[in-house]
Amino acid sequence: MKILVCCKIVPEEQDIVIQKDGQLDISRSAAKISQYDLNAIECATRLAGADGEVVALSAGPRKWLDNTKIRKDILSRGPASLHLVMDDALEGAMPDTTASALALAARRIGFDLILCGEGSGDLYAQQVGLLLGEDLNVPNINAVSSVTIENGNVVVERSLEREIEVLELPLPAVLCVTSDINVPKIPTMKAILGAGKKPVEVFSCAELGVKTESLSDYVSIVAPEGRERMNKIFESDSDENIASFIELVRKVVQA
Amino acid sequence: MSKYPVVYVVADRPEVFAELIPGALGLGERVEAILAGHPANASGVFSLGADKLLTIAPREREIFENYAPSIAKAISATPNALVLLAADKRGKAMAAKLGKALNAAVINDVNTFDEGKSGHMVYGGLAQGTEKPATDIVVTTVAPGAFEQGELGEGSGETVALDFIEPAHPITLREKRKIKASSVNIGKARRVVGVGRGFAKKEDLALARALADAIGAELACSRPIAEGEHWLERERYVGVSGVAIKPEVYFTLGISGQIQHMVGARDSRTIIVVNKDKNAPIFKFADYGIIGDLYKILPALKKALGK
Amino acid sequence: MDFSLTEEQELLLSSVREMMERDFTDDYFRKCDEEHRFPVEFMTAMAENGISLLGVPEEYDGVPADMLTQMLVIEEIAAMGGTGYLLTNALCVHNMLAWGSPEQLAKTAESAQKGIPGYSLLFTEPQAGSDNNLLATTAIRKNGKIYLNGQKTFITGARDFPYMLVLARDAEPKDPKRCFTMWWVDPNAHGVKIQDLHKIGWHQISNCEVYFDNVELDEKDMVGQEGYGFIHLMKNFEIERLVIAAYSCGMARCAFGDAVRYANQRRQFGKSIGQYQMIQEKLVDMDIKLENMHNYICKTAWQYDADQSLRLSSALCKRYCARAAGEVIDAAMQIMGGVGYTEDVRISRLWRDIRITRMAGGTDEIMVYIAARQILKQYEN
Repeated sequence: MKILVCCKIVPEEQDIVIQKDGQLDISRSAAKISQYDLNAIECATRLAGADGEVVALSAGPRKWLDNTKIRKDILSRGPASLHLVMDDALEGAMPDTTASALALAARRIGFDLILCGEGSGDLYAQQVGLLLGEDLNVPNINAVSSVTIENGNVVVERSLEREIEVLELPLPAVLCVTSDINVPKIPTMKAILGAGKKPVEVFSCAELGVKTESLSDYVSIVAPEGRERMNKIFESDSDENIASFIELVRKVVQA
Repeated sequence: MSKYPVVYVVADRPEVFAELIPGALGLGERVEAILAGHPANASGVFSLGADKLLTIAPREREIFENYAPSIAKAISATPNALVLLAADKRGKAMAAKLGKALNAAVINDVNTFDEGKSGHMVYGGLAQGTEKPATDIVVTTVAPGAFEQGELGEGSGETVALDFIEPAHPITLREKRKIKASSVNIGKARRVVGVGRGFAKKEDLALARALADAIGAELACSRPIAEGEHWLERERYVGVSGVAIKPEVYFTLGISGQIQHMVGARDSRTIIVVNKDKNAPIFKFADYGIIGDLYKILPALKKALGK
Repeated sequence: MDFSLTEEQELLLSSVREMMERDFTDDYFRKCDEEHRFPVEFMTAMAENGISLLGVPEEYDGVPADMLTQMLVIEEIAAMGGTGYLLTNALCVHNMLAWGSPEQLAKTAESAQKGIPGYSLLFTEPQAGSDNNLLATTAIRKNGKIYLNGQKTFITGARDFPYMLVLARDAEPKDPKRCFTMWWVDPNAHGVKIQDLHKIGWHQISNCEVYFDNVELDEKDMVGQEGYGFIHLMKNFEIERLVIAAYSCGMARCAFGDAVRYANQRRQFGKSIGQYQMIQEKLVDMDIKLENMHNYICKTAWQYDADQSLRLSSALCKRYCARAAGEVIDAAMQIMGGVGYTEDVRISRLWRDIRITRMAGGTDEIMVYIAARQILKQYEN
């Protein structure tokens, strides 16, 4: 079975600087694999076992993907090869554009099953996987918390807010897995050292015929203003400090 | 202010209407409710102000998502419309299917609608993103708390039954298990006690529970407690993909204060912090805080505040 | 000269950090230290991920890596409060490749897979440390067997590692100048007695006195060449010294980070203590030492990888790092004040644990003895 797993490269959120006017400066942010996609990669490698093939796919601008370290990072987590739709036209791509780029690439690569994370760590639109399934015209579903293959079908548990469903989808299909479907393994030393030897194939938008205009666009991304806090902190839990702390808390609670 | 000619509120259960129709009224000339279910269950939409109810008779073992083509066809009758769904997993799956079928922009977890633009949190809650869709039909899922909630009353009005259209790739439901519905709503609580990784084991949460009971607070938690450890229900988890709380006082106990958590707590009026790690980011958000041992401070706090 | 890490090294270190942050935080090591317990879960996890197998050849299910990478990893683990000093699998396997029998090598490699160094090294005796001529443990041949008698002390890991490598004097040496041979001993063998020493630090590993009372061995238990025990060990010590330097530097980095954060946060007389010049001077000198240590370790590891002799450099590097790390950690404790002396913070543990590095692998003074001879020789004639 050939499992295609999609992952997005996003800026490390801890490196994002909020400027005085609330604008975000991500110019100093290192590239990282979107954390929810790690669950998808882990799910793919476990599902594939020894006989299956896992292939990774990502789409984005050169800024994130023209980076051998991040490519090795992806490959150190299990996939046998990596395919990239690398094009500066995908800078800030909206979900519908990303989905269409992934769909066109997926058709070229071939697949039995596509796995995605629940959403991306940056924009968290939670649509790309589902739209990818729609674009490919194959069954697709989100909130998948377990996956098994049975007689050419995929059987999934779907964790919803009020119920758990057990669903059966014919292959090929696209699944978006939850962030608690597994605990992603930390890449082993051997896998890291072997990652650089795995093949990477790069497509451009033109090659695949990706249309890059989107159905929607951001007009602004701004950090909200924080509330002023009193910031009265006791530096140790001496009996004296606990007593003073409790006094302050009592005033708040009994106000 | 420009309004959509029609706002469709699409739901798999009538409670969604109470949540979304009051807000929908301000966004469109007309509001039409679409339910995958029996019309008898949704007559309350008229008391909420809906102009029309469209229903698809429920089918045995059919999941909500399989109704997408039927719903899309009903909506496609209008060239210019806003579609609202609950921002739950089902709502999001349906939104994508409707978006594709209607060639509409899809925006999830919308917390503000303003002049045709939709806002939602990005970068783990670090910032608010505002999108301007370019399509005539726009599909959104609405974040909890974005609208004032209404009550489902009695009423009657124009009700239309929609035909079921078989989806191209129906998904087969094998089995469905209810999760014990949690009645907690920490989003509305006046006082909240939140617990985090600072607790070594599940049994120790009793300390936090005792404090919560003493002051009449709801128990809440950070993501790892609900999703990693499963010590508390998901409904109690505060954060960007959990619940946003707005209590008068929020006690955070052993919570480190990652931005993803604080986004859900930043509207708390007073934040009180107990954490042994002096470098925990949570202290930046504290009104009153103490660096120290939970196991020493909590019993004292409970004793002093409980009566 | 390029000081940047390779992408692989960056990724390896990031895996190490993730594993430490996720599963082996300070709470874990604090508990092991409190309970005087070998951190077996940590050791297992390090092997499962391959971290402690770096430098073990692929034929033995290891992960080939150069010495520089191995030292970076050990330093990193120590910098996160972990027992970097226990990552000696590669050294154990390396020794057996150089002078062990296939069976001894196989046993060492098997233990490495579990993350446990294959053997403790029994060299020091109550009356004989650096002066190896005083070694009194003897191996005597009788009726086709070998019998071991004597006493060893300060033996690191005697209780925690599965085998022992014992340096003993040949009772009837073929060549009086070559009279020390190493023997492979099962700690459970009849006649082996182990007694714990009670230490002020290093509580996560045993250090023991070991007694041999007519312990019966076979010829196949000889390790390396007869009479070459001491010579074999010289190469081991050169690498061991580099390892000590690497974890010393890591421990110092760990203490430094804690102290700087504290200096930013602790307020006295209306400002953070980091604003006072007496603290600032400490921080600056600490940082210089950290940089020097790290660079010295990298340079020495690079020399190893470039097939150059470490005879002089590993002694100098270890002497410098053990002392400088001690100074950094001591200054870190001073910055933390009374808090630093409590067991609530890890500085106190680091402060206890670092002291041994000035003795282990040869004392500061012996490093001078070894190095000075080399230095003088360079300028002879």
